[in-house]
Parts: sequence; C-alpha cells; structure tokens
Amino acid sequence: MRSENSDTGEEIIPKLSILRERDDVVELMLPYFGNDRGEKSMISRAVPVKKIKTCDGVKIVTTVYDLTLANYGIDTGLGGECASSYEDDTPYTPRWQEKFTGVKAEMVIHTAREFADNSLKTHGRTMVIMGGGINHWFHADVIYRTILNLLMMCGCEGRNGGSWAHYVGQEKLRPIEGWARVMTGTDWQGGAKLQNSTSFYYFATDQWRNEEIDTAPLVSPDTTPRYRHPSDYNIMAARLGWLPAYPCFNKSGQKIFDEATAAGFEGIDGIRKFVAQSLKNRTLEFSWEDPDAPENFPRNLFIWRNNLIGSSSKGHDYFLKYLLGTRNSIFAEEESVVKPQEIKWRDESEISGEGGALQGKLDLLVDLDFRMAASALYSDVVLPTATWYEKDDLSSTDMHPFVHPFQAAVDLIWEARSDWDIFRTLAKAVSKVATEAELPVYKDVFAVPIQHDTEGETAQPEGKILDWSKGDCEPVPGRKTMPAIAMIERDYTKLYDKWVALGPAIQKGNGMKGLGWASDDLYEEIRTRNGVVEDKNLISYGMPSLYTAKKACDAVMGLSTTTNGKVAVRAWRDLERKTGLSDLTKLASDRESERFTFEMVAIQPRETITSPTFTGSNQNRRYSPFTVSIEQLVPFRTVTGRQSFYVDHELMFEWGESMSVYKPILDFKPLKNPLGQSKEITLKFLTPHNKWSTHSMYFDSQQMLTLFRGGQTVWLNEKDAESIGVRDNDWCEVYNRNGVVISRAVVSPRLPRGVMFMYHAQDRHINVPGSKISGTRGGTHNTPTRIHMKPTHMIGGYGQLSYGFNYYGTTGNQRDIYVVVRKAQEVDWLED
Amino acid sequence: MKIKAQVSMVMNLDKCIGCHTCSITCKNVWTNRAGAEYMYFNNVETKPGIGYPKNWEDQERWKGGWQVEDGELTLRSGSKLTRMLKLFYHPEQPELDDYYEPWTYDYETLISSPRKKHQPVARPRSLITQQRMEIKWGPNWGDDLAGGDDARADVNLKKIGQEIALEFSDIFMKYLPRNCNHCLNPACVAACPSGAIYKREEDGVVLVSQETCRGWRHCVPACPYKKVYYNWKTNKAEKCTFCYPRLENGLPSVCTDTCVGRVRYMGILLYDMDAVCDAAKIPDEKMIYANMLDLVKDPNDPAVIESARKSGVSEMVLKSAQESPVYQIIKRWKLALPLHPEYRTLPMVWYIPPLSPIAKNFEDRVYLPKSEAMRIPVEYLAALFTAGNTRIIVETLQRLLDMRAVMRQKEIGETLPQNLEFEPLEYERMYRLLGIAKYADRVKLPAGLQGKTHEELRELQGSTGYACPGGCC
Ligand code: SF4
Ligand code: SF4
Repeated sequence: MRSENSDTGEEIIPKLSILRERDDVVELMLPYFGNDRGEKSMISRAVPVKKIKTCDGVKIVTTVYDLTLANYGIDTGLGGECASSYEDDTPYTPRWQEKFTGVKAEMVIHTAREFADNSLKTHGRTMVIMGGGINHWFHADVIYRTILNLLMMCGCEGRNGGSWAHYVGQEKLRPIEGWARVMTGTDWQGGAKLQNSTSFYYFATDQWRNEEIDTAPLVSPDTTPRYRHPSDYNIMAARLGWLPAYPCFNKSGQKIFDEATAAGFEGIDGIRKFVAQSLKNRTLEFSWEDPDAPENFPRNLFIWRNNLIGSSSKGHDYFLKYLLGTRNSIFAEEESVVKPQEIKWRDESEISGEGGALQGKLDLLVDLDFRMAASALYSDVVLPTATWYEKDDLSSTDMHPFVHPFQAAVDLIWEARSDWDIFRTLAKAVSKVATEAELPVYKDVFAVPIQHDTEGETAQPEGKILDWSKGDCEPVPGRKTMPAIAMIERDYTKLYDKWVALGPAIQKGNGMKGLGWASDDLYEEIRTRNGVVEDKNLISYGMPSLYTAKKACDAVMGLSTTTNGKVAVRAWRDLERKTGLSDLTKLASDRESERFTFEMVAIQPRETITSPTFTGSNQNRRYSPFTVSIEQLVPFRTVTGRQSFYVDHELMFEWGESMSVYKPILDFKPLKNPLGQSKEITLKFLTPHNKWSTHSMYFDSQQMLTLFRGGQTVWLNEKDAESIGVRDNDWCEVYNRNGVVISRAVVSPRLPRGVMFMYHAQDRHINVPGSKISGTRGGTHNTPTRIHMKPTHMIGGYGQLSYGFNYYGTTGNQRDIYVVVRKAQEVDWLED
Repeated sequence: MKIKAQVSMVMNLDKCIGCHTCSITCKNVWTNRAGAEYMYFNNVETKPGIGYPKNWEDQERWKGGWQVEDGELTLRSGSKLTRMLKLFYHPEQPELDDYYEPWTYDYETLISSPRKKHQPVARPRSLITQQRMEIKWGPNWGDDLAGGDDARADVNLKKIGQEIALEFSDIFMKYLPRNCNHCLNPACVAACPSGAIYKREEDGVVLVSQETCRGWRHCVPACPYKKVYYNWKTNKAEKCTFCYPRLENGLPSVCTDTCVGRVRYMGILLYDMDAVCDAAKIPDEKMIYANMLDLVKDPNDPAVIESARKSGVSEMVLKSAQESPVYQIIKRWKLALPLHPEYRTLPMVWYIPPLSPIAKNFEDRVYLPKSEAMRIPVEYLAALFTAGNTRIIVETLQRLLDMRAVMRQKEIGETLPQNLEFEPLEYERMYRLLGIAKYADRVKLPAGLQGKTHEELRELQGSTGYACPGGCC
C-alpha cells in the first residue's frame, strides 16, 4: 500500500478528485429509495470525468471520491441536483434525514461537527461503539457501510483510540488457529461442513414457503431483479460456490461415489468431473432445490451451548411446525407473495402425510443443557451438562484482548458432565455401535464453498455473475464457477480413537487467513506437556492426549498465534513474505518466548499476543481494529487492498448499493387481515438484548425474575397502550402471521410511539399462559419474527465478499417486523 | 472536638449502569433466608421512580428521619410515648405490599411433567403463603422507567413541579443504588426502645443486635431511607451491616467489591462527634450539606490527629484516613453529596451526581455543555442531594466538567476553561481516582478495624469453636 511505483520507486500522489483536471461533466443517475412507500426513483447528479484512451476506445472515468460526493449530493460547483445548504430537503442533508429519523437537523450538525472536529484534533481518535443491533436489520450491510464511511472520511479507522468498535459479545475467538483444528477435527483430516445457519434454518424450517419478500420493489429502480424470491438467490449462491448449503445434494456422498465409479470416473478428478456433469444434466441436485423431499431433510440435531428453540430460532413457530412437527401458533399461514423458481414447490397435501415435512423433519433432537428451558423441553434427549463453575474452558472476547479461563469451582451435581466429557462419551458410543454393526468406511463426496482469505477470492473476477446453470459458463469445481468438490473417508469405528488425541495432520503445518507456518515442533511440545494416548488398541496410540478439557485447552493455546509467541512470529514472517513488507515480526517478537497454558491463565487472564489473524496490534496499548493496515501498510483484505466506499459487484448494482444509500426498513403488513373485534394497534417489533438475562441464560433464575417483572414482558409507549386500553402489567396478545405471543405489558414513556420492545430471549417456560387467539401457549420473542434473507449478503468468490465461517454470510435479521397488539381478554393457563 | 472514625462510601452515579450486580451479591450473602426474602439491604432504583419500598421518600406519609422543633431535633415518628401508643396500630409501618410479596416458581413442573397437550410452564408461587400468586409488584418494578405513571409519582418530581413531564422527547433517567447510610445521626438508633441498634465505636457501622432486639419495629418507620427491615420469621429487625466481618479484615462490602461499574469507593472519614448534633439541627435544611462537610476533618491536621488518638482511634485507622479516597472526593474536591440531607440523619454514603448528554442549546462548537443544558434537570438532582440547593449541584457538576476540559486540553491542546477552581494537576488526580483507579485505590480500609491489639486478639482465639479440655469453657 506504499504510494510508490514498484518498478521505479517513484512516489505516487493519488488524485482524490479530478474536479480540476476534468475533461467533461456527465450526468449520473443514482438509485434513490427515500420516496414514499413503494416508489423508487433515480436521482441525477453531476460528476466530473476524464477521458482515457484504451485499446477498447475512449472510456470515461472518474474517482470514487467524486462519485461519493455526488452520491451525498454535495455541491462541487458543477450544477445538477445537489444541496446548496444543510437546510435543503435533498438527499442526504441533515434536514432531509429529519423526516426519517426524527432527529433534529441541528442535533445532527452539532454531533457531526463534534465528530469531525475531534477527529481532526486527535488524528482520528473518534470511535463508534456499535452493538449487534444494526445487524438485525434487513439492510444491515448498507447501514454498516454508512457508519464505516463516516469513520473513513474522518480518518478514524485503524487509529488506536478511534475507529469502529464492534461490540458483539464473545465472538472474537482469540486462540483460533488451534481451536479451529480441534473443533473441526482437521487435526486428522479435512471434511468439516461449516454452514451459515441463517440460510440453513430458512430452508430447514420452510420459511421460504411463507416468504413475504418480493425483491422487485427493493432493487435499484433501473433494474429488474434476476429473481423475485430471496430463496432463489440462495440457491444460486450454493450453485456458484458463494455459500455452503448442507446437506449438499439429494444423494449421499457414498451414493455419488458409487455412481461415479460405476460410470467409470476414477479418482478425485474423476469424481469432480462426474459431479459437475451430473449437476449440469440435472441427474444430481442441490438438496435445497427441494427442501421438502424427505431425502433432503436434516434428521438429527444436537443443540449445544445455546437455546435454539427458546431463544435463537428466528421464526420460532416455523421451527416448531416444520422441524419438530409440534403444536405451534403460526396464525395464518399465507403462501409466498411470489413463488420461487429454483425450488420445487410441493403442495401442502403432499407434505402433510406420514413422514412429510409437516410431521416434523427431525427424527432426533438432543440438547446439552443445564436448564430446563425451551430447547430442553422440546428435545428427545437432554444431556445435563456443567455450568461455567463446574468445568474447565477458555473464553475470549471482542474488544478485550485477553484469554480467560473457566475453572471448576464446585463439583458437578447429579448426573451432569462437562460438555467435553459428554462428547467424548458419545464418540466412544458411536465407535462401539459402528464396530458392532461392522459399518464400512464411508466415502463422503461433498461441496465446499469458495472461502475467504484464499485464492478463491479472485475466482469470479470483476464481480460478474456467470451462472453455469444458465449456460453462461461451464461448471468448474475447485472454487471457480461452482463450489469445490471434496472427497474423504469417514471411519466411524475410529471416531473415539481420534477424538481423544491431537491428530497427526498438525505436524504438517498450520495456518489461518491464508498464512501458513510449521507446527511439528509445537506438536511435540504438546505431546510432552499433555502426555500421550496410552491405549495400544487405539490408532492414536502415542499421540498427544486431549482426553480432558484442560488438555484440549493447552493444545489449543499451544497452536495459536495469540497465545504462543513463537507461532505469532512465524505467522508475521509469512505475512512479510506475502506482502513484501519487512519488519512485521516486531509486532510479536517482544513476546516470542511466551506460551500460555491453562495454569497460567488460571492464575491471571493473559493479554493476547499481537497476531496477523486479527487486524489490530495491542503492544502496550489496547486493541483497535485495522491498526496493522494503517500503521504497517498491510493491505486490507478487500478487492482493492484498501477500504472501499464503492463496491462493483453485479449484485450490488442490482440492489442499488454500489455506494452506501438510504434504504427504508421493510414494512410488510403484520397480517393480511387483522382479527379486529377488539381495540388493536400495529407496532414495529424490536427485540433488543435483555437487561435481566444474557440471551436466555439466567432468564429463569428466580432472582433475576424478581428484579424485574417475573416473566415475559413487552414494552410499549404509554399513549399507544392507552389507545388500546392496556395498562401497566396487563396481559397483552401480540400477533402477526408468524404466531402469537402473550405477555405482560410494560407501559413506559421511555419508548417512542409506534414501537414495541420485546427483550430478546425471554423464554416461554416461565409464567406464560395460553393465548385465546392461537389456543396454545404463548410464544417467545422470536414468535412474531422470521428470517429475512438479503441477497447481497450471499455474494461469494469476490474479495471481501467471500464466505467465511462465522464471518460472512446471510445475517439472521429479524427486525423489519410489525405486530398487532391488543389486550388479552382472558388468561387460560392450559394445564391440560 | 472529639474525633471519631467513620467508614464511608461514595458512589459515582456518573458510572452506575444499573446492573444490580450489587443487589444480587448482597442478596446472596445476606438475605436469601426465610423471613428475609423480601429484603434488599442493597437495592438499585431507577430515578425518577418511586423506588423500594413504594414512595419511601415521601416523609409526609412515612414520617421518617428527624425534624427540628423549637430548635431541638425530634424524630418525626413522634416521641417515645406516641410511638409506644402506636404499637398496635401503626399507619407509618410499611407493609408487605409496600415492599412486594416475594415469590418463586414451580420449576419442578418443567422436569416432571406428564405427557400433556400443551407445553408445561413454571408458574409463580408466593414465598409467604406458598399459594399461587399473580405478580403485581416487585423490588424493582419501575426499572428503566417501566410504568410511566409510577415514575411520575416520584416526590422529587413533584417538588420541582415536573410531575406531568416525562415525554419521550425530554425524558431522562439515572440509577440510584442504595444501602444503609450508616448515618452519623441515625434515626433508627434513636427510635429503638431496647437499645438493640447501635453505632459501633470503632467504625461507625450501625448494627442491630439480634440478641437484644425485641421486635418493637420502631426503627423501621424511623429510618427515612427505609433501610431497616423486619424479619417476619424471627421477629427481629435486620439491616445492612456494611459487611462488617469483611471490613474488620480490611475488605470492602460485597456490593463494593462486585460493583461492575467500579462506582463504589470506601474509606475512612474522621469527624467531630461533638459537632454532630448542631450540624443536624440547623434550621435551614439547605445548609446541612455544608455542615456535614465541616464535620469531616482533615486527617493530616495535627490537632485532628491528636484528638483522634485521644478518643482511641488506632494508628492504623489514622493512616488509612490519611489515604482515604472518599475524603478526597467528599471533602477535598466536593464532588459527592449526601442523599436527602433534609432528613437530618447525616448519611455517610455519598453520591457523585451524574452528568448527562446535552439536551438543549446546541451552541456552535461547544461540546462540553453547561450543567443547565443537560438532560437531567439540575433541580431534580438538587431535590435528591441538596435539599433543593441548585447552586451546589451546578458547582459540583462544573467540577466534573472542568476535569474533562482539563484532560481534553492535555490530550489535544484546547484552551483551558477560565476560572478553574483547582490547579490542573488536581483535576488529573481527580481523573485518576474517578476514571482509571484500581481496586486498591478505590478501597482503602485498615485491617483490624476493631482496634484490638495482637495480644487481645490472641486471647480471643479459641473463645468460640472447639471446647477446651474438660469442658471448662
Ligand atoms: S440509613 Fe441506616 S443508619 Fe441511617 S437511619 Fe436508616 S438504618 Fe439507620
Ligand atoms: S452500583 Fe455498581 S453493581 Fe450496583 S447497579 Fe451500579 S454499577 Fe451495577
């Protein structure tokens, strides 16, 4: 990123604007979404251009800066539609925004000045701290970009003490390189099928059948969307290798292998050819192309360290209906406004029979939990597990660069076991059954999407969408025009043998984010530290033991850059090699001799070692993202290697989002025909984090419940409440097409009118009566919500827009929802 | 002058996030017992709000604290005689509903439910009657302005004529954590006919002797903060002990120790016991705060030290007083204020009032607002902390703002505000203590507060526990 000509070393001074050197001014039409409901229009802006001669003739070009100014409507003296002052009601002035946000223009100007002024005086030490809330809106990505733009324009990104502090819980897993290997079993061999769960549950719970989105009104005014139904985009994403889509195909891996062999296709290349060809001639299909075909159902589900059913199931009642086949309150199921093109539609009669989707797709639901909350209540098997104070584990978080331990402070009670011990026990049982059943080695053929931080990021250049199924190109696996096809052998009789040891594949090296390093000596060190598997009958005999959770923690920390200085230095060295930069190792060399152990972090949580797996350095200061790019000139992991105001992917153009624009929230009616008959009001339904629980954890604790109102509550403005005759602590029914909630009302002036808060992850097992409307027990905060998938989140194979597990993919946005609220007439506890 | 030592607490409301960790840890340690379920020795209230128990600040109703009659202090709850007459009918005695009826749930139904048509659910059950109950009130019912009309019933809002306000556009709130104030002039002690409540010599902690308490309950209405509770199982009064067993070992109270916001400070104040009564009975209640500051003496003043030694304050306690973080905040910087000084009990838990965002007058390029431009009205804070004296609130908030201005100047070289009250270095000290102080800086308590020598302590060894041979003791 040095501003110099790499051949001559001459300094390059990039032009921000070509306003002065312009050859011409052109009128640019930009998409605009701020009109009254449903109306879209293009706005006209004047942009300076230069004419450049190329082999393809004269082209006009401009800078992103000039485009950005035009987008924001800033008057650069070129005329055209633009704002002459902050007072103009032109997009995007302070006055203009007032009508959408209710925030006074004066307040906006004052805050913006303070933001800019402070950034100027402190060289960018202005910070935006942001929780996960924005991510829960359909247009999360454009909103994020708006905020990032603000920070970029004020020079705050990558500035220690400034920049973007994304404060979302426990998601920055610091010792990631070791963890990733153990977690996915890739210390033995590849083959982990990692899935973005939003898409998975969208299909598994058949929310696609009840889709309320028609994409036509949402895309750029000058485009026709390639699909009207969001699920079609996801099928395309699976097909082009953008996103994972498991279970992959409508045939098992072994079956594909057998068919390929029978047809004379040999070896992995043969298999790849066979799969590509079968997909093309439709003898093989992606399972999501027909989610209601029994062969495509997910059958077994393990819930571990979350409360899927009671807490995170966006579209809770669709989970009950399609995944579990149990009583639900989907109130008035209405078919999709548009039918998908890429998915086989099966009529209700077809899926309601024995073994059909409406009977519940799952055969077995197992829950590891220490609370009898909704997930446990709805499970076939509950495995009682340890709380944080009864087990050994590690924790690391977003903005605090520390590794913390969990330690058993008290013994486990009753039959409970730690997660680690439960999974080890299960592994042993599986191996035993597999051996008894003489299960042969299973050949698994499956698809893997194009991954972030791999060469796959350049697989589909210039953001052009070439769809092999439409004849735009050939299906070429291997992260080109479709997902890669992999084949591995799975020997279930050896599951336990492998489970208890750190696998030998570690010796061949480790890596992350496209970097690699040697780890054979680390493997040896862990062997010495942990001791070995001593049972001669196991194939892992003599390998480092992972029998206990503590040993696993020590292995993880021994293999990770943030917790082993030696590894960090190796990773920086590899980044030096890749970038041509020198002197990056200094970011970790001061701590090269440190190697965290469980005992050490138990004595005191340790500050992690600066690592290229993350973007900030924390040497003698707190971690801030992107400081490594700004200070050391390590390229950003984007198409351009720099921060982007402008994204030129075809799908971004389609959705009018090549630059950050204003997009209103989705405002679908809660129900085609509200029930009426009693006073009702329609409110926007929001589910922010609860004060009295951590997600659903602690929600059912008597102490926490005592400190607020003893059960589920919904908050609404007092005037809204008055309009429907609801008083504080009255029972309310809250419903829309997705289901019915019954809850106590909290009436407060703290909320603006038109909004209802139902704090996230209150669960339905405490103090929840039945609803007269649904005739069954009231639902959770996620009963009225559902999954809305935004196609721009599905883009893959293009720089920063590439799939990364837990990093990039469809977000589970659930905020663009309205509900109808009324006072509950009668409360029935449904004790039968 | 008679100098005594008092353990005191400061809570920085600018940093309290209302998480109630303090309430939970306190409850786990002290009041998760039969008869004590409804008690929160420490509770956190959202203000505006009516708090716990309901409307405890309404002394017209509860007649708590002291009043001045003919220049003398008398309990508002009446003379000993009138109080005795009220033994069997006591309108100022709060009832369970004023607190709340504690409950639990039928958790068992979730585990052992038979096959049913509908998902099982755990319903509430009263911890008092063991019957099913409907939850209608709780110890924190008004959290985050839940129930707007309850918030409007806050007597402090009435005092400033704003009871009808609280519209979304100009709404404000803050948290107020409360435990017993271990007052210098405790009404609870004065009201007890059995002498069961006493203020400890060595550290001023106010305790109820469980042996002596006869359950007269005079202390309950007398305390204007409603921080003495009646255990309905043991029929004795109970209250916050400042976690004295911890204090005696140099450790702070549990609420302080576990405070997530690092809001709480604990340390020793030296005060002039002889001046307490006069300080409390000054007719103009707006002057009580100034009197309280006068009571607190400079621990480095030789005369103070001498007097302290004379009245038995140990060297360890003296040293601790000299390092006291609360002395700095309360007296040196005048940042902390007593809650409702007009109750005249001279509370020893002090509060730093909170700053709040600019809500009006967006003066161009002025980013540190004047206290009057903030969202929380100065009058409201005055009703809580200075008996209505707004000048003191403005001055206190200004010191906090000046601290920010000085620190900002240090970072980015903006011009310093005019008329700073202290030297810039003093504001830096302030910043260190309020902003980044570690545990050991926020809490300075001498171990061995009870002032016993090693010799005495050794003699105490074995005085409880295993019997001595032959069963002689
Ligand atoms: S606050 Fe404490 S010391 Fe003061 S009167 Fe009430 S119970 Fe007594
Ligand atoms: S005083 Fe501390 S622990 Fe208590 S609510 Fe405030 S921040 Fe939380």
